[in-house]
Amino acid sequence: MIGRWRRWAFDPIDTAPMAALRIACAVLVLGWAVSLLPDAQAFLADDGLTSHPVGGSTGWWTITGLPAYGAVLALIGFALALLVGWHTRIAALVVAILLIALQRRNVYVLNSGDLLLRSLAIFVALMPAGECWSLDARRRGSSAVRAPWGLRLLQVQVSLLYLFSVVAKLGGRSWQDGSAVGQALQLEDLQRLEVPLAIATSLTVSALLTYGTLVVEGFLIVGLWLPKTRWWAMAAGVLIHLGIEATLLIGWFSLAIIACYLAFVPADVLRRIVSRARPVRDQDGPARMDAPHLI
Amino acid sequence: MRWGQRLETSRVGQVLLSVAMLVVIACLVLWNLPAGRPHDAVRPLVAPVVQGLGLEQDWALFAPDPRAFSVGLSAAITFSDGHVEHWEPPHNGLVVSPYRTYRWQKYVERARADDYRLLWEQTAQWVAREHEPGVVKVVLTRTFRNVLRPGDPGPRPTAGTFDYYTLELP
Repeated sequence: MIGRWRRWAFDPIDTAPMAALRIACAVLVLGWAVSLLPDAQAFLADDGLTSHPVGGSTGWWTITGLPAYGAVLALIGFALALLVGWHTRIAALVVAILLIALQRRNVYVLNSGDLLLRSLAIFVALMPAGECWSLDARRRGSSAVRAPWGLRLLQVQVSLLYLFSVVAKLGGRSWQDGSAVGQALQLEDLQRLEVPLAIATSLTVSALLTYGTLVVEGFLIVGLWLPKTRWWAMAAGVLIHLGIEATLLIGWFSLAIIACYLAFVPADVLRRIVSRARPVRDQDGPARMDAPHLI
Repeated sequence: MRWGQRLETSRVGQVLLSVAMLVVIACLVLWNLPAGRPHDAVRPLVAPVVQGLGLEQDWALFAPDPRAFSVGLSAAITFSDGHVEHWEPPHNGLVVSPYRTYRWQKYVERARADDYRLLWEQTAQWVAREHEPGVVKVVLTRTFRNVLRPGDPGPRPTAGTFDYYTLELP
Protein backbone atom coordinates (compact mmCIF):
# COMPACT_ATOMS: atom_id res chain seq x y z
CA MET A 1 0.00 0.00 0.00
CA ILE A 2 2.73 2.46 1.02
CA GLY A 3 4.77 1.44 -1.98
CA ARG A 4 1.86 2.04 -4.33
CA TRP A 5 1.19 5.45 -2.78
CA ARG A 6 4.86 6.34 -3.14
CA ARG A 7 4.93 5.33 -6.79
CA TRP A 8 1.68 7.23 -7.45
CA ALA A 9 2.74 10.43 -5.73
CA PHE A 10 6.50 10.52 -6.14
CA ASP A 11 7.72 8.36 -9.04
CA PRO A 12 8.96 10.95 -11.53
CA ILE A 13 6.87 11.52 -14.63
CA ASP A 14 7.24 13.71 -17.70
CA THR A 15 6.55 17.33 -16.74
CA ALA A 16 4.66 18.16 -19.97
CA PRO A 17 1.15 17.89 -18.43
CA MET A 18 2.18 20.23 -15.62
CA ALA A 19 3.55 22.74 -18.14
CA ALA A 20 0.36 22.46 -20.18
CA LEU A 21 -1.68 23.14 -17.04
CA ARG A 22 0.52 26.15 -16.28
CA ILE A 23 -0.11 27.63 -19.72
CA ALA A 24 -3.86 26.92 -19.62
CA CYS A 25 -4.15 28.34 -16.12
CA ALA A 26 -2.26 31.49 -17.10
CA VAL A 27 -4.45 32.05 -20.17
CA LEU A 28 -7.60 31.66 -18.08
CA VAL A 29 -6.34 33.95 -15.32
CA LEU A 30 -5.45 36.56 -17.94
CA GLY A 31 -8.97 36.35 -19.35
CA TRP A 32 -10.48 36.42 -15.87
CA ALA A 33 -8.49 39.51 -14.88
CA VAL A 34 -9.13 41.40 -18.11
CA SER A 35 -12.86 40.67 -17.83
CA LEU A 36 -12.78 42.12 -14.31
CA LEU A 37 -11.19 45.43 -15.33
CA PRO A 38 -14.41 47.21 -16.44
CA ASP A 39 -15.96 46.47 -13.02
CA ALA A 40 -12.89 46.68 -10.80
CA GLN A 41 -14.12 49.88 -9.15
CA ALA A 42 -17.64 48.53 -8.58
CA PHE A 43 -16.57 45.16 -7.19
CA LEU A 44 -13.21 45.83 -5.53
CA ALA A 45 -12.91 49.46 -4.45
CA ASP A 46 -13.84 50.64 -0.96
CA ASP A 47 -16.36 53.05 -2.52
CA GLY A 48 -17.75 50.23 -4.68
CA LEU A 49 -20.74 47.98 -4.09
CA THR A 50 -19.27 46.53 -0.91
CA SER A 51 -17.14 48.68 1.34
CA HIS A 52 -15.01 45.90 2.82
CA PRO A 53 -14.25 42.18 2.39
CA VAL A 54 -16.72 39.81 4.04
CA GLY A 55 -14.92 36.85 5.53
CA GLY A 56 -15.46 33.19 6.18
CA SER A 57 -14.62 31.49 9.46
CA THR A 58 -11.33 30.27 10.96
CA GLY A 59 -8.38 30.32 8.63
CA TRP A 60 -9.92 32.82 6.23
CA TRP A 61 -7.59 35.61 5.24
CA THR A 62 -7.36 38.34 2.68
CA ILE A 63 -5.25 41.35 1.81
CA THR A 64 -6.91 44.63 2.68
CA GLY A 65 -6.14 47.96 1.10
CA LEU A 66 -5.39 46.54 -2.33
CA PRO A 67 -5.87 49.23 -4.98
CA ALA A 68 -8.61 47.86 -7.24
CA TYR A 69 -7.06 48.49 -10.64
CA GLY A 70 -3.50 48.05 -9.40
CA ALA A 71 -4.21 44.58 -8.03
CA VAL A 72 -5.92 43.45 -11.23
CA LEU A 73 -3.08 44.83 -13.35
CA ALA A 74 -0.55 43.10 -11.08
CA LEU A 75 -2.45 39.84 -11.56
CA ILE A 76 -2.27 40.34 -15.33
CA GLY A 77 1.49 40.93 -15.09
CA PHE A 78 2.16 37.82 -13.02
CA ALA A 79 -0.17 35.74 -15.20
CA LEU A 80 1.91 36.78 -18.21
CA ALA A 81 5.06 35.67 -16.36
CA LEU A 82 3.34 32.36 -15.59
CA LEU A 83 2.31 31.97 -19.21
CA VAL A 84 5.85 32.22 -20.52
CA GLY A 85 7.34 30.42 -17.52
CA TRP A 86 9.51 33.26 -16.24
CA HIS A 87 10.37 32.72 -12.57
CA THR A 88 7.53 30.25 -12.74
CA ARG A 89 7.22 29.20 -9.11
CA ILE A 90 7.12 32.77 -7.81
CA ALA A 91 4.74 33.86 -10.57
CA ALA A 92 2.43 30.92 -9.83
CA LEU A 93 2.43 31.64 -6.10
CA VAL A 94 1.68 35.34 -6.58
CA VAL A 95 -1.08 34.54 -9.10
CA ALA A 96 -2.69 32.17 -6.58
CA ILE A 97 -2.42 34.67 -3.72
CA LEU A 98 -3.77 37.57 -5.80
CA LEU A 99 -6.65 35.43 -7.05
CA ILE A 100 -7.56 34.51 -3.49
CA ALA A 101 -7.32 38.12 -2.30
CA LEU A 102 -9.28 39.57 -5.23
CA GLN A 103 -11.99 36.93 -5.04
CA ARG A 104 -12.35 37.33 -1.30
CA ARG A 105 -12.66 41.10 -1.69
CA ASN A 106 -16.17 40.61 -3.00
CA VAL A 107 -17.59 37.13 -2.49
CA TYR A 108 -21.03 38.20 -3.74
CA VAL A 109 -19.91 38.13 -7.37
CA LEU A 110 -18.30 34.69 -7.30
CA ASN A 111 -19.55 31.47 -8.83
CA SER A 112 -18.10 27.96 -8.87
CA GLY A 113 -15.98 28.79 -11.92
CA ASP A 114 -14.07 31.40 -9.94
CA LEU A 115 -13.43 28.92 -7.16
CA LEU A 116 -12.31 26.25 -9.62
CA LEU A 117 -9.92 28.65 -11.34
CA ARG A 118 -8.51 29.52 -7.94
CA SER A 119 -8.03 25.83 -7.06
CA LEU A 120 -6.31 25.26 -10.40
CA ALA A 121 -3.93 28.16 -9.73
CA ILE A 122 -3.14 26.90 -6.23
CA PHE A 123 -2.34 23.38 -7.43
CA VAL A 124 -0.30 24.68 -10.37
CA ALA A 125 1.75 26.65 -7.83
CA LEU A 126 2.59 23.33 -6.15
CA MET A 127 3.77 21.71 -9.41
CA PRO A 128 7.14 21.98 -11.12
CA ALA A 129 5.27 23.68 -13.94
CA GLY A 130 8.21 25.59 -15.35
CA GLU A 131 10.36 22.58 -16.23
CA CYS A 132 9.09 22.47 -19.78
CA TRP A 133 7.93 24.94 -22.46
CA SER A 134 9.14 27.88 -20.38
CA LEU A 135 11.75 30.63 -20.29
CA ASP A 136 13.02 29.09 -17.05
CA ALA A 137 13.74 25.82 -18.83
CA ARG A 138 15.67 27.64 -21.54
CA ARG A 139 17.55 29.75 -19.03
CA ARG A 140 18.66 27.16 -16.53
CA GLY A 141 17.94 23.81 -18.14
CA SER A 142 15.08 21.54 -17.25
CA SER A 143 14.29 18.30 -15.53
CA ALA A 144 12.30 16.28 -18.02
CA VAL A 145 10.79 14.21 -15.21
CA ARG A 146 9.65 15.23 -11.73
CA ALA A 147 7.49 13.92 -8.89
CA PRO A 148 3.80 14.50 -9.70
CA TRP A 149 2.35 15.00 -6.21
CA GLY A 150 0.97 18.47 -7.05
CA LEU A 151 -0.59 17.09 -10.22
CA ARG A 152 -2.14 14.24 -8.21
CA LEU A 153 -3.81 16.74 -5.89
CA LEU A 154 -5.40 18.47 -8.87
CA GLN A 155 -6.55 15.13 -10.29
CA VAL A 156 -8.15 14.25 -6.95
CA GLN A 157 -9.77 17.70 -6.85
CA VAL A 158 -11.38 17.10 -10.26
CA SER A 159 -12.80 13.76 -9.14
CA LEU A 160 -14.09 15.26 -5.89
CA LEU A 161 -15.76 18.04 -7.86
CA TYR A 162 -17.76 15.54 -9.91
CA LEU A 163 -18.41 13.26 -6.94
CA PHE A 164 -19.92 15.99 -4.80
CA SER A 165 -21.72 17.55 -7.73
CA VAL A 166 -23.51 14.23 -8.36
CA VAL A 167 -24.19 13.68 -4.65
CA ALA A 168 -25.75 17.15 -4.34
CA LYS A 169 -27.85 16.64 -7.48
CA LEU A 170 -29.15 13.25 -6.40
CA GLY A 171 -30.68 14.93 -3.36
CA GLY A 172 -32.83 17.20 -5.54
CA ARG A 173 -36.31 16.31 -6.72
CA SER A 174 -35.85 17.89 -10.14
CA TRP A 175 -32.73 15.80 -10.81
CA GLN A 176 -34.68 12.70 -9.85
CA ASP A 177 -37.74 13.42 -11.99
CA GLY A 178 -35.77 14.68 -14.99
CA SER A 179 -36.92 18.30 -14.98
CA ALA A 180 -33.70 19.97 -13.72
CA VAL A 181 -32.04 20.92 -17.00
CA GLY A 182 -35.30 22.09 -18.58
CA GLN A 183 -35.85 24.28 -15.56
CA ALA A 184 -32.30 25.70 -15.64
CA LEU A 185 -32.55 26.48 -19.37
CA GLN A 186 -35.55 28.75 -18.72
CA LEU A 187 -33.73 31.00 -16.24
CA GLU A 188 -33.64 34.27 -18.17
CA ASP A 189 -30.93 35.85 -16.05
CA LEU A 190 -28.69 32.87 -16.79
CA GLN A 191 -29.31 32.62 -20.51
CA ARG A 192 -26.51 32.99 -22.98
CA LEU A 193 -27.98 31.37 -26.08
CA GLU A 194 -31.73 31.29 -25.60
CA VAL A 195 -33.18 27.81 -25.91
CA PRO A 196 -36.70 27.85 -27.42
CA LEU A 197 -39.35 27.42 -24.75
CA ALA A 198 -40.81 24.41 -26.55
CA ILE A 199 -37.50 22.58 -26.16
CA ALA A 200 -36.76 23.74 -22.60
CA THR A 201 -40.20 22.66 -21.42
CA SER A 202 -40.19 19.32 -23.22
CA LEU A 203 -40.03 16.64 -20.55
CA THR A 204 -38.41 14.19 -22.97
CA VAL A 205 -35.59 16.59 -23.85
CA SER A 206 -35.19 17.71 -20.24
CA ALA A 207 -35.09 14.15 -18.89
CA LEU A 208 -32.56 13.12 -21.52
CA LEU A 209 -30.28 16.05 -20.64
CA THR A 210 -30.83 15.75 -16.88
CA TYR A 211 -30.09 12.03 -16.64
CA GLY A 212 -27.35 12.39 -19.26
CA THR A 213 -25.64 14.99 -17.08
CA LEU A 214 -25.81 12.72 -14.04
CA VAL A 215 -24.44 9.73 -16.00
CA VAL A 216 -21.58 11.73 -17.53
CA GLU A 217 -20.63 13.40 -14.23
CA GLY A 218 -20.75 10.03 -12.49
CA PHE A 219 -18.61 8.48 -15.22
CA LEU A 220 -16.06 11.31 -14.97
CA ILE A 221 -15.38 10.57 -11.27
CA VAL A 222 -13.46 7.43 -12.23
CA GLY A 223 -13.43 7.46 -16.02
CA LEU A 224 -10.69 10.08 -16.24
CA TRP A 225 -8.31 7.88 -14.25
CA LEU A 226 -8.54 4.72 -16.33
CA PRO A 227 -6.48 4.54 -19.51
CA LYS A 228 -9.19 2.57 -21.30
CA THR A 229 -11.96 5.08 -20.58
CA ARG A 230 -9.98 8.30 -20.28
CA TRP A 231 -10.60 9.62 -23.79
CA TRP A 232 -14.29 8.70 -23.70
CA ALA A 233 -14.64 10.43 -20.36
CA MET A 234 -12.86 13.55 -21.61
CA ALA A 235 -14.93 13.66 -24.79
CA ALA A 236 -18.17 13.31 -22.83
CA GLY A 237 -17.02 15.91 -20.30
CA VAL A 238 -15.95 18.41 -22.95
CA LEU A 239 -19.22 17.91 -24.83
CA ILE A 240 -21.38 18.46 -21.77
CA HIS A 241 -19.40 21.48 -20.57
CA LEU A 242 -19.41 23.11 -23.99
CA GLY A 243 -23.17 22.56 -24.10
CA ILE A 244 -23.54 24.28 -20.75
CA GLU A 245 -21.11 27.00 -21.86
CA ALA A 246 -23.18 27.73 -24.98
CA THR A 247 -26.49 28.03 -23.19
CA LEU A 248 -25.88 29.27 -19.66
CA LEU A 249 -24.11 32.21 -18.10
CA ILE A 250 -21.61 30.40 -15.91
CA GLY A 251 -18.50 32.51 -16.38
CA TRP A 252 -15.23 30.65 -16.38
CA PHE A 253 -16.43 27.29 -15.09
CA SER A 254 -16.53 25.29 -18.34
CA LEU A 255 -13.19 26.57 -19.58
CA ALA A 256 -11.56 25.98 -16.18
CA ILE A 257 -12.80 22.40 -15.85
CA ILE A 258 -11.80 21.56 -19.43
CA ALA A 259 -8.35 23.00 -18.65
CA CYS A 260 -8.18 20.71 -15.61
CA TYR A 261 -8.61 17.69 -17.92
CA LEU A 262 -5.04 18.38 -19.08
CA ALA A 263 -3.98 16.77 -15.79
CA PHE A 264 -5.17 13.46 -17.23
CA VAL A 265 -3.70 13.77 -20.74
CA PRO A 266 -0.62 11.55 -21.22
CA ALA A 267 2.61 13.48 -21.67
CA ASP A 268 3.51 11.84 -24.98
CA VAL A 269 0.22 13.04 -26.48
CA LEU A 270 0.88 16.61 -25.33
CA ARG A 271 4.43 16.52 -26.72
CA ARG A 272 3.16 15.18 -30.06
CA ILE A 273 0.61 18.00 -30.26
CA VAL A 274 3.22 20.63 -29.42
CA SER A 275 5.79 19.25 -31.85
CA ARG A 276 3.18 19.26 -34.63
CA ALA A 277 2.24 22.83 -33.81
CA ARG A 278 5.88 23.90 -33.62
CA PRO A 279 7.91 22.95 -36.72
CA VAL A 280 11.31 23.66 -35.14
CA ARG A 281 12.73 21.12 -32.74
CA ASP A 282 11.32 21.29 -29.21
CA GLN A 283 14.26 22.93 -27.51
CA ASP A 284 13.30 21.63 -24.10
CA GLY A 285 13.96 18.18 -25.48
CA PRO A 286 11.73 15.17 -25.35
CA ALA A 287 11.04 13.39 -22.11
CA ARG A 288 13.26 10.50 -21.17
CA MET A 289 11.94 7.50 -23.06
CA ASP A 290 11.81 5.33 -19.98
CA ALA A 291 9.90 7.95 -17.99
CA PRO A 292 6.84 6.37 -16.42
CA HIS A 293 3.62 7.48 -18.07
CA LEU A 294 1.04 9.56 -16.35
CA ILE A 295 -1.18 7.53 -14.04
CA MET B 1 19.13 19.84 -7.78
CA ARG B 2 16.68 22.51 -6.61
CA TRP B 3 15.10 22.57 -3.14
CA GLY B 4 11.75 21.29 -4.38
CA GLN B 5 13.41 18.37 -6.09
CA ARG B 6 15.52 17.61 -3.03
CA LEU B 7 12.38 17.60 -0.87
CA GLU B 8 10.36 15.29 -3.09
CA THR B 9 13.20 12.82 -3.61
CA SER B 10 14.26 12.48 0.04
CA ARG B 11 12.59 9.97 2.35
CA VAL B 12 11.76 12.62 4.96
CA GLY B 13 10.45 14.98 2.32
CA GLN B 14 8.20 12.30 0.87
CA VAL B 15 6.78 11.51 4.29
CA LEU B 16 6.08 15.20 4.96
CA LEU B 17 4.53 15.74 1.54
CA SER B 18 2.45 12.58 1.89
CA VAL B 19 1.05 13.74 5.23
CA ALA B 20 0.28 17.17 3.74
CA MET B 21 -1.42 15.58 0.71
CA LEU B 22 -3.55 13.29 2.86
CA VAL B 23 -4.56 16.15 5.14
CA VAL B 24 -5.58 18.31 2.18
CA ILE B 25 -7.53 15.51 0.49
CA ALA B 26 -9.28 14.55 3.74
CA CYS B 27 -10.15 18.18 4.47
CA LEU B 28 -11.54 18.68 0.97
CA VAL B 29 -13.70 15.56 1.31
CA LEU B 30 -15.03 16.65 4.70
CA TRP B 31 -15.56 20.26 3.57
CA ASN B 32 -17.65 19.04 0.64
CA LEU B 33 -19.95 16.78 2.68
CA PRO B 34 -23.59 17.49 1.85
CA ALA B 35 -25.54 19.71 4.24
CA GLY B 36 -26.49 17.90 7.43
CA ARG B 37 -25.19 17.08 10.88
CA PRO B 38 -21.85 15.54 9.81
CA HIS B 39 -21.26 18.57 7.58
CA ASP B 40 -22.03 21.00 10.39
CA ALA B 41 -19.82 19.09 12.80
CA VAL B 42 -16.71 18.87 10.62
CA ARG B 43 -16.77 22.24 8.85
CA PRO B 44 -15.25 24.16 11.77
CA LEU B 45 -12.56 21.50 12.13
CA VAL B 46 -11.40 21.58 8.53
CA ALA B 47 -12.02 25.30 7.91
CA PRO B 48 -8.54 26.41 9.06
CA VAL B 49 -6.88 24.18 6.47
CA VAL B 50 -9.33 24.67 3.60
CA GLN B 51 -9.78 28.42 4.03
CA GLY B 52 -6.17 28.94 5.03
CA LEU B 53 -5.10 27.45 1.70
CA GLY B 54 -7.81 29.33 -0.21
CA LEU B 55 -9.47 26.09 -1.29
CA GLU B 56 -13.03 26.74 -0.09
CA GLN B 57 -15.40 25.34 -2.70
CA ASP B 58 -18.97 24.40 -3.46
CA TRP B 59 -19.72 21.96 -6.25
CA ALA B 60 -23.49 21.80 -5.75
CA LEU B 61 -23.97 23.14 -9.26
CA PHE B 62 -27.68 23.73 -9.96
CA ALA B 63 -28.24 21.46 -6.97
CA PRO B 64 -30.10 20.19 -5.10
CA ASP B 65 -32.50 21.88 -7.57
CA PRO B 66 -32.06 24.73 -10.06
CA ARG B 67 -33.82 27.95 -9.12
CA ALA B 68 -37.51 27.84 -10.04
CA PHE B 69 -37.70 31.49 -11.11
CA SER B 70 -35.72 34.03 -13.12
CA VAL B 71 -34.51 37.10 -11.26
CA GLY B 72 -33.72 40.69 -12.13
CA LEU B 73 -32.85 43.96 -10.46
CA SER B 74 -33.12 47.55 -11.61
CA ALA B 75 -33.01 50.98 -10.04
CA ALA B 76 -34.98 54.18 -10.57
CA ILE B 77 -32.90 57.24 -9.79
CA THR B 78 -34.73 60.49 -9.07
CA PHE B 79 -32.84 63.77 -9.41
CA SER B 80 -33.42 67.05 -7.62
CA ASP B 81 -34.99 68.56 -10.77
CA GLY B 82 -37.56 65.76 -10.78
CA HIS B 83 -36.36 63.74 -13.72
CA VAL B 84 -35.93 60.00 -13.34
CA GLU B 85 -33.31 57.71 -14.87
CA HIS B 86 -33.28 53.93 -14.87
CA TRP B 87 -30.28 51.70 -14.30
CA GLU B 88 -29.83 47.98 -14.88
CA PRO B 89 -26.69 45.97 -14.25
CA PRO B 90 -24.91 44.66 -17.36
CA HIS B 91 -26.54 41.34 -18.17
CA ASN B 92 -26.41 38.26 -20.42
CA GLY B 93 -24.52 38.63 -23.74
CA LEU B 94 -23.42 36.06 -26.27
CA VAL B 95 -19.72 35.92 -27.10
CA VAL B 96 -17.32 37.89 -24.88
CA SER B 97 -19.53 39.78 -22.43
CA PRO B 98 -20.79 36.64 -20.59
CA TYR B 99 -17.30 36.33 -19.07
CA ARG B 100 -17.99 39.68 -17.42
CA THR B 101 -21.75 39.77 -16.89
CA TYR B 102 -21.88 36.53 -14.88
CA ARG B 103 -20.46 38.51 -11.94
CA TRP B 104 -23.32 41.00 -12.13
CA GLN B 105 -25.77 38.09 -12.45
CA LYS B 106 -24.37 36.60 -9.25
CA TYR B 107 -24.51 39.97 -7.51
CA VAL B 108 -28.13 40.49 -8.59
CA GLU B 109 -29.05 37.00 -7.39
CA ARG B 110 -27.88 38.04 -3.93
CA ALA B 111 -28.61 41.78 -3.79
CA ARG B 112 -32.29 41.20 -4.57
CA ALA B 113 -32.76 38.49 -1.93
CA ASP B 114 -34.17 38.94 1.57
CA ASP B 115 -31.25 36.91 2.95
CA TYR B 116 -28.85 39.62 1.79
CA ARG B 117 -30.53 42.73 3.20
CA LEU B 118 -27.12 44.12 4.08
CA LEU B 119 -26.50 44.61 0.34
CA TRP B 120 -29.63 46.65 -0.29
CA GLU B 121 -28.46 49.97 1.09
CA GLN B 122 -24.92 49.50 -0.21
CA THR B 123 -26.26 48.83 -3.70
CA ALA B 124 -28.55 51.87 -3.62
CA GLN B 125 -25.72 54.07 -2.29
CA TRP B 126 -23.42 52.90 -5.06
CA VAL B 127 -26.06 53.54 -7.74
CA ALA B 128 -26.54 57.04 -6.31
CA ARG B 129 -22.79 57.73 -6.36
CA GLU B 130 -22.56 56.51 -9.95
CA HIS B 131 -25.27 59.00 -11.00
CA GLU B 132 -24.10 62.04 -9.04
CA PRO B 133 -24.70 64.95 -8.90
CA GLY B 134 -28.24 65.77 -7.86
CA VAL B 135 -29.57 62.34 -6.88
CA VAL B 136 -32.29 62.58 -4.22
CA LYS B 137 -33.82 59.11 -4.32
CA VAL B 138 -32.94 55.60 -5.46
CA VAL B 139 -35.60 52.90 -5.64
CA LEU B 140 -34.44 49.34 -6.11
CA THR B 141 -36.84 47.06 -7.96
CA ARG B 142 -36.68 43.31 -8.19
CA THR B 143 -38.33 41.19 -10.82
CA PHE B 144 -39.03 37.51 -10.96
CA ARG B 145 -40.72 35.11 -13.30
CA ASN B 146 -41.48 31.47 -12.46
CA VAL B 147 -40.22 28.84 -14.88
CA LEU B 148 -42.53 26.24 -16.35
CA ARG B 149 -42.16 22.73 -15.10
CA PRO B 150 -41.03 20.60 -18.07
CA GLY B 151 -43.94 18.48 -19.18
CA ASP B 152 -46.57 20.83 -17.74
CA PRO B 153 -48.47 22.63 -20.48
CA GLY B 154 -49.33 26.25 -20.04
CA PRO B 155 -48.45 29.78 -21.06
CA ARG B 156 -45.26 31.35 -19.82
CA PRO B 157 -45.96 32.96 -16.44
CA THR B 158 -45.90 36.75 -16.40
CA ALA B 159 -43.08 38.53 -14.63
CA GLY B 160 -43.65 40.12 -11.22
CA THR B 161 -42.04 43.45 -10.31
CA PHE B 162 -41.69 44.91 -6.81
CA ASP B 163 -39.99 47.96 -5.38
CA TYR B 164 -38.11 46.59 -2.40
CA TYR B 165 -35.80 49.28 -1.14
CA THR B 166 -35.85 53.08 -1.20
CA LEU B 167 -32.90 55.28 -0.37
CA GLU B 168 -33.69 58.94 0.27
CA LEU B 169 -30.76 61.31 0.08
CA PRO B 170 -30.62 64.72 1.78
